[in-house]
Amino acid sequence: MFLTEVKLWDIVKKQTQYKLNAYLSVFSSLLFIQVVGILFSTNGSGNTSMGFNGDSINIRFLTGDLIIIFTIIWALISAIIITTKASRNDDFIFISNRLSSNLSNILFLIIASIVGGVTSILSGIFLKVILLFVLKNDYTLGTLISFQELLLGMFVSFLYIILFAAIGYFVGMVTQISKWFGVLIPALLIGNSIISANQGKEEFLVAEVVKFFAQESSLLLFFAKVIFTSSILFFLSVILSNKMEVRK
Amino acid sequence: MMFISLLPIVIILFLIFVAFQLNKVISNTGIYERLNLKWLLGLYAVVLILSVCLFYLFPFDIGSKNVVDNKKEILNAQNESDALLTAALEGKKISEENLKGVLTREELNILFKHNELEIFAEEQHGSNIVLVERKSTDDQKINVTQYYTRAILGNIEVTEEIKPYIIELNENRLSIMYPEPLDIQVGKFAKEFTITQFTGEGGLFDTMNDDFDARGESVIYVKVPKNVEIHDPSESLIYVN
Repeated sequence: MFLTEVKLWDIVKKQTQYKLNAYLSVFSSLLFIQVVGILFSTNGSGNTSMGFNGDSINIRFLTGDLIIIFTIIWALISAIIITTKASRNDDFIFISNRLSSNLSNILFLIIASIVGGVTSILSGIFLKVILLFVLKNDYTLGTLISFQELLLGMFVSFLYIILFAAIGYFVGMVTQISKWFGVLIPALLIGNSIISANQGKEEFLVAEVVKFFAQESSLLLFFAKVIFTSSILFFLSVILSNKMEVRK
Repeated sequence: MMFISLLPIVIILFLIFVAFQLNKVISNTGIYERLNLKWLLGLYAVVLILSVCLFYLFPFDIGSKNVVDNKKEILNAQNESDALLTAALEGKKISEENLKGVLTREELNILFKHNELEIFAEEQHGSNIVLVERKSTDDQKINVTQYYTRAILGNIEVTEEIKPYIIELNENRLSIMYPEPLDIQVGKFAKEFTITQFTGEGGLFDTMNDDFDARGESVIYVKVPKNVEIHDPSESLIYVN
């Protein structure tokens, strides 16, 4: 019997608020990574050259793709980092249990993913504005994105980022159970790739998973795939977390 | 092969790892605290929002006037180029063939008083197509005409950028040399993959391969006086029937 009955949702809210302030380094790393992404993208996300009778034409493709990819990997790594023991111990500042700790982590990752999704697309715009002012090409061509496309880009980027955050959170949680998983998971992925290549198969597990999401052209189905996969991964992470030993 | 395809992913992961480590080092120095991290993040947000405002309010014109994105027009240009090449290889008189889309540079009339002429065609970038016609009179003049067709590369019309061949006569040696090579830089704005995945447009890698090209063909047509003996050290001349 406690003097104060504390509701789970209140604890989750408080913990999330605390994490948003305490894990500011997550956002500083986002800023840092996006600036690096912008710098790398100034020379184009891709190049194609062609020659004819000694003449050459070099086309640089100017897009924010690299910034989005950097942000996705940032989410993956950040999610792994918040499952580490040091981060988990921070939760015991509050009256909490494994469930509230996990829920606040997931909520934090969702918020971070929204920030990542919005800023990754906006950074792409920032990059294009810089390039439009300073570009020294003989010719420029292509199309600029409309406002609706901008919103679509933000939403889809958010979905990709939350998907990778969920993967990172799951991998991080598995690794907390046994450090061996930290070696085993990359070994499995690389091993599968090598075996597939040796068997003459063009496709390997990672490529198949990427295709499953990246080749989906229906926004609704893509949304469903991401939400379903992320939910499963977060759910499994919560279950795994409960299996962990009690904090000494 | 597979390792090569994985290389960009490995490089990106390495870069992100380095970025995380650098961020950690910077964070440990206390620069973020001194700069006030919240202000720094806020400033970044303001810069991003301002760039969006600028992006939509400023009338950027990225459509170069030389862009040709009509596939039919590019295919037509390529057909015209093929027709010129075929006529040249068959040793036809280009001016009498009524070929569509064949452009002509100003004819060079070079005074020539020797009895022998050596025609040297530079072959640095593949064979030059040089057609030789013997005139019916002995007017002591060599006439050189360059026929060419439109060149559209990577959706850019570069016909006017291509300079004429360099034609030089030294004693009895007529040299036909390639012009200064062009190096054209194009910046192509493409939409992000998170947009193109659902808009039905090609993503970056599709965009890189969706260009039709009309490479443009050039033919040098040389008319020599009736009694001049021609030497062809490169054995590449085509004589007009």
